[in-house]
Amino acid sequence: MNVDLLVVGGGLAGYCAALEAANAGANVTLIEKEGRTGGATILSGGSFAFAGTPLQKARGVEDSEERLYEDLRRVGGHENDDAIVRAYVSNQRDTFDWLASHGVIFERLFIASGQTVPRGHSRNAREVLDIVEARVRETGRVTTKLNVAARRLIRDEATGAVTGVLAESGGREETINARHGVVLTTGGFSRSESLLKLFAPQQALAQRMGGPGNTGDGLLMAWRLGAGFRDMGYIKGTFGNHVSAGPEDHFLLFPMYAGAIIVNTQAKRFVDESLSYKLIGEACIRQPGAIGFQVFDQPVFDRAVPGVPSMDFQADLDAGRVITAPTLAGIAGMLGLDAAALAETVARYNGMAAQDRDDDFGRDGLCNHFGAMAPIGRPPYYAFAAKSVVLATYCGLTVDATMNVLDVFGAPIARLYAAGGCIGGFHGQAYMTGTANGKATIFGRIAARAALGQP
Amino acid sequence: MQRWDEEAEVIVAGGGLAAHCAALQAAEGGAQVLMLEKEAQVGGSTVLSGGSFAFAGTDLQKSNSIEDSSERLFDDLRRVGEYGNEEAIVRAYADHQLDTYHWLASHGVTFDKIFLAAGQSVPRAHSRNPREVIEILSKRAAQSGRVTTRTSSPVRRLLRDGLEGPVQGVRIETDGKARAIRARCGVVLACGGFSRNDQLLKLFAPSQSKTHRAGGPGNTGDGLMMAWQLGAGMRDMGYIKGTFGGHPAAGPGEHALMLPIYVGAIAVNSKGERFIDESKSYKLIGDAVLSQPDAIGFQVFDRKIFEKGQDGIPTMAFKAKLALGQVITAPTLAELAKKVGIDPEGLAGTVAGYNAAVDAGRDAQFGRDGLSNHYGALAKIDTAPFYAYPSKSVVVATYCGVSVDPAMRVRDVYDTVIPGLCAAGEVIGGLHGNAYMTGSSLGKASIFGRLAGRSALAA
Repeated sequence: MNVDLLVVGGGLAGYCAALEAANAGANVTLIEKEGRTGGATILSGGSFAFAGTPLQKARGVEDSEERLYEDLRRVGGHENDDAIVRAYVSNQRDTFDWLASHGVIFERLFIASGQTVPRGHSRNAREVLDIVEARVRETGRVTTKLNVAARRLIRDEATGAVTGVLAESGGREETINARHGVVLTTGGFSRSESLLKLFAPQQALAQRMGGPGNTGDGLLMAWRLGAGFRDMGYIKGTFGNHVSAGPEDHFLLFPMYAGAIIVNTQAKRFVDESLSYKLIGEACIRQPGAIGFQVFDQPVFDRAVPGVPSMDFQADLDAGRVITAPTLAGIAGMLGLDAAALAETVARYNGMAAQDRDDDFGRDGLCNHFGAMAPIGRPPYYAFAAKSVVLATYCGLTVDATMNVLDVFGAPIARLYAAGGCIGGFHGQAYMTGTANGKATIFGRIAARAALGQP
Repeated sequence: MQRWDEEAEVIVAGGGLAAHCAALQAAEGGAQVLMLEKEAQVGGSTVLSGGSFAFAGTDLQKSNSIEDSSERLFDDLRRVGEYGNEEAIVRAYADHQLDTYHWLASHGVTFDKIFLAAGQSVPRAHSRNPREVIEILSKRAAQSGRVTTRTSSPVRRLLRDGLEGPVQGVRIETDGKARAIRARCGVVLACGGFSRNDQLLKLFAPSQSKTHRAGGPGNTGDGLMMAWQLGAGMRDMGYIKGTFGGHPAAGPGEHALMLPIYVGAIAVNSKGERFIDESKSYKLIGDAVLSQPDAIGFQVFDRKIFEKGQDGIPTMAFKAKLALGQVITAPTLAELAKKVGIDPEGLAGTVAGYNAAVDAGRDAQFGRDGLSNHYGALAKIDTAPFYAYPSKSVVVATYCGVSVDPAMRVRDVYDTVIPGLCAAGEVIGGLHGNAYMTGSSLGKASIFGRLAGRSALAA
């Protein structure tokens, strides 16, 4: 089979790459290993980190590309690749408009991890993907094949350029040739125990989440061609997933960013709850049983953002994952915590919140220096038992600012591009909410244009 | 077609213990060998090491009435690695270790000291000055008439036949000029780990950014990167840890680890507080010290413990470190604290508490129940003069790297052998897993170096 461009992986990055390429006139084949599209995208919270948007202006939120850039670099501990962060920032406003022009409109805006102003543009992730998929179909230029897995990249023996893949479907192998090369949008490897053990053995006690196909196929295929890596040592779990969650459940809830405290099984706080949920995740895997209980009261509950899954406390209360009791002692009893110890922890926290000063862990707000701490004292009380979960690996292939994959010595691998969850270099140490979907969209488009030679 | 400037039968990249063993073994098999060392001198990390080899069932152990066996060594290695290591690679070590002990002896590398060290359930560290070991093997290689050793000759790239074919040779760089050298049989990567490459350490082990670095100056991951470019798989990358006990003033080329904790010292932070059970693995203590203020600890001990030092063993050479000024001494704990920058009141309280715990037979604070690994009785710190050794965590070696089969043939990311390419020593992963047994670095360099030399000849 011969096409102009082959896209491997049917999540948001893959579909954005396919749509961009089709709109540029290319004939595209998109293959997806699983029986359905959506990958990790449809398990996500559905937020996109954009800055300087009409939605922000309408809500009176002042934001800018420069501010987004500074936030991204700072959240990443300045360990992320400047050129990749720049590529995100300088293409994000255009991509916001591009999404809008295709019918992906955002109505909800909220502040989340790593953001200094509300920047999480939220929409049900399945809906977003459905819209983009529909636009892709309408182009008439994209063939989508489900249940087709890429097994190896194929190169031209003379030039070394990537010319396609060896694919497998139902035990049958097929070669797919692509004149302009291959875009890998296969996602990360949060569902590969062997790769997690190799790069992040300390996450053994964390839960796993991610698309069932997120087994690192793109990483491995490009690695076999000598591709470099970025950020492999920064794999961390994300705190806040309910203890009952399976690998395809998205039970993340962040009452801590509305003012909840987090205690361990000894009813002791162990971290500044306003930090990135990845840093909290790291602290959580060192607690007994690797568990942390988010404890809060009615005013915190009232700060929920209905419709935003990670901030919709009522929905989780209805589902039985948030528990409630008229007293703190009641909460302690339900969680199996020592009631006196919990009372003491809350009293100490309330004393510090009243002074606006956390001597124990340095908390100075609700989320990332934003908002003010408030005492936890108005019944009823609530709690959410959470663990750390590896929901994406946030690391992977080395790419340049055009998403061309680079080898371990920094040389480009001709006609091999990557975007979304399989690239490294963008996040660095930690993760800002909304950047996984953001980079899938922005970088998927960049990769397609670069592959077609239309930067 | 590749044009070759020169050729050999087996090319060995590197000049430490693994390289010497690979070269000598291939030469014994009849090969013409070219050994290419990047630095101006051979020796690599080997000559910076403590000089211990983990062997089991040796005549030296027998003459010291120590019962040991390959099977016991195998079990210890698996347990120390918390089963994160690869069984087949550990098996290869256990199966070939005694033969290598005899082979070393036949070349004049004999041992006369033996002691118990980290991760060992019986005394198994066969000790010899590592510089002497390299000198002996270097001489033997020269005497074989088949090994040519070239220094200041960094191997920069592996050259293979087409995109997928066998490795056929290497590109080296001498005096700024590139040369292609053909290896008619095969190439052995024995060029060490990457403890001197900050970029690779950041990639795989950013949590170690506050550690010190040690290891041969050439240990910048050249072998890992060259094999990686050919799609080589990797093992154990997430287990990189620093080792506790390095002096803050020591340079990367000094062997500075000293461990009085294992004969009874306590470890405190600058507030004078203990922070861990000191009988644990020095790797775990290395992790713990990273979360202390300024990532520094102080091993504090008294005259009784000082007198347990052993001059010939670097980690126990208290007197030598005292002469260097790295061990600080004072007639009282208060003066000691002031001299090294520990809070005196904190230290006084901690030592009093610790001594009371020793009397009570129970360390309620951290559960220390012995000197090392449940072995040996604790003693009070109460006899002047007192001593302190400031200690940081040091990445002395990376203990991880390319994936190999039990014959030391490098495998790609899908576990398929890359023809013509072998590796041994610190550049490989899979043996250690989660933690490290003293003596297994030089052990694997020699055992696996020989296996790699043999496989390269057969390639």
